[in-house]
Amino acid sequence: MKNQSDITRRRWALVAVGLLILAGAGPLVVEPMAQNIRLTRTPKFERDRASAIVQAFRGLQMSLADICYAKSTEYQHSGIIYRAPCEETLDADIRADRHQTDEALGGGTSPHPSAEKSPRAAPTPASSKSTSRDHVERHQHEEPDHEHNTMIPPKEADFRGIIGHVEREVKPFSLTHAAHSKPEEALPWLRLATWINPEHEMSWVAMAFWLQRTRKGGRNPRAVEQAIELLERARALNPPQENQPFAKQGLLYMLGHLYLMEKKDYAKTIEVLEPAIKRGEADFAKLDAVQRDWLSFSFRDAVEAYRSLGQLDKAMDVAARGIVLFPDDGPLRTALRRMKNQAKGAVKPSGK
Amino acid sequence: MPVWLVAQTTFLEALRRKDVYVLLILLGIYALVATALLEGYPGDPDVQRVLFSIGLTFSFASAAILSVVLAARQVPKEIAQGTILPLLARPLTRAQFLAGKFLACWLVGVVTLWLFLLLVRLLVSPPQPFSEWLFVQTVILKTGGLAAVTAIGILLSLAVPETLNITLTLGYYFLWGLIFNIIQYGLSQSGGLVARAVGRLLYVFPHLDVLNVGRLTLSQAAPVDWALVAGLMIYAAGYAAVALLAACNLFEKRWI
Repeated sequence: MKNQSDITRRRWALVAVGLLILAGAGPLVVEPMAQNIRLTRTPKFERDRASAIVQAFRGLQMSLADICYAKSTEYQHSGIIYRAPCEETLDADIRADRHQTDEALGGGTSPHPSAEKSPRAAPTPASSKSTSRDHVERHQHEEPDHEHNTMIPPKEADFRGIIGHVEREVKPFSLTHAAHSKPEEALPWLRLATWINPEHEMSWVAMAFWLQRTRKGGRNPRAVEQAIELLERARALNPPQENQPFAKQGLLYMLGHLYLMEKKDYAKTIEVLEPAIKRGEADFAKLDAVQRDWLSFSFRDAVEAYRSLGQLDKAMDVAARGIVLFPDDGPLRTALRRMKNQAKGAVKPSGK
Repeated sequence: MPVWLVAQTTFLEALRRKDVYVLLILLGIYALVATALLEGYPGDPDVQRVLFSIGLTFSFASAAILSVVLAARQVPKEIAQGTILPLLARPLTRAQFLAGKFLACWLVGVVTLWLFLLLVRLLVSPPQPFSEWLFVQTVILKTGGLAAVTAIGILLSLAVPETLNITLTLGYYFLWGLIFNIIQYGLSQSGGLVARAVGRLLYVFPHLDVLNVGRLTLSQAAPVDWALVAGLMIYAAGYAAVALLAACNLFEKRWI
């Protein structure tokens, strides 16, 4: 009996030794193969397209991130769900922010190209005169262009007669755009979206945009630094891929914009935006309308950064390159014209 | 050859079971869908790629499921039906009994895998770039993976109920690679010596995910280094042996 238990003990010891050897040697054989087949969080186009199952999982990953992003907009509107075509709040806010920047940089007198493209985002005369960002935001919500088709139609568009009238009188809804809640509430959803899909550009941009706004009222004194830190992480996670157009212009624009407007770090702005502009020029034909919009904004900020550094030649060069791609870009044209005049003014006295 | 006799009997019995019909139905559905799609989109490389990929996944998954389900049932069923008593009354040790059962369950998985892959190769042109040698390596590694997972199934069948065993083994087989990565990511974020030690300790659990290189077959033209394949096969065989040895130890102590 004792002999039997000895044998059992030896066998268990053998199992333990075997496990230890395998655990010790495991990384040597596992890692070289794991590196080849490991499913990365960031999609790898060439590798992913090879497998139908991976593609299905990628689809799920993208959808989850989109759901989180959509959820963040729900939080921003105090739980009111907007239909997809109505939900361009961030877009409108960023455009308003851009418009303000252009005004501050002296290009605001020209027609705003993005406003021409998107009537919804076109600032009203009142908002364009306004100097307060809040004012712009408030007007966006009040202006008729910003109103959308509601689930319960207004009287003029309602075929239901008295039923529609009763529903409107009871008012279990609002026909106007819901007021925004504090951006902090949406941030966790956006962070979750970027955690699930580190390539979710809109979530990174939205998160940085709303995060830097939390500095208002002293709620978060480090808001800008945190936003920059996040975008730097996003930049590291989304490097340009070979043989693919760089479709993360928004990330770099927002990062450069924060360095320019909030940190006044012009050299850093150029360091961020120059590569984006170069890639944008190379890939311009392959970029969609949204990416082109971001690129046009990057051109404007790069021009301003060079101008602030006193490098007028480079600023004019960037502006001219931008105009080649965006011939109707008013702020760029105005900036170039003014810089040319400025250069002429500088040359004239020395010519005398 | 008592081991082979047990294996042969178990194998033939497995063929009579409805699980094999499920496999045949799956094969039929795959063949039907593949033929319809190939007729509808003749020569479309994307359709071929998707069909090939689905075929590989189905074959890998069905082989693993069949092996584990069979392995989980063998010993508990023999005990429940009382057929284990006349078996062990013969000149057959418990270790030989387990080895025979393992061999049969593994072979069922291997035959399933090969049959499915044969059908895939007959129906669908492989996507380009494609390496025949890499395909062979994929099949070899998968065969090794099936041995390890079957042995784990046999081991757990002596410790936990059948349904739990199937859930645990298949859950582990399909998800451990993902879970391991998440844990390692969390540990790397926390940093420190303890985290590194825990990360290292996690290698005690077998990495059967690295024996599934179907994705490489679909995207890579060059075969993997044969030394690495050999290393991985030894790794899989090592875990199969350890699991079977642990199963023997448990079974020797088991009161029937």
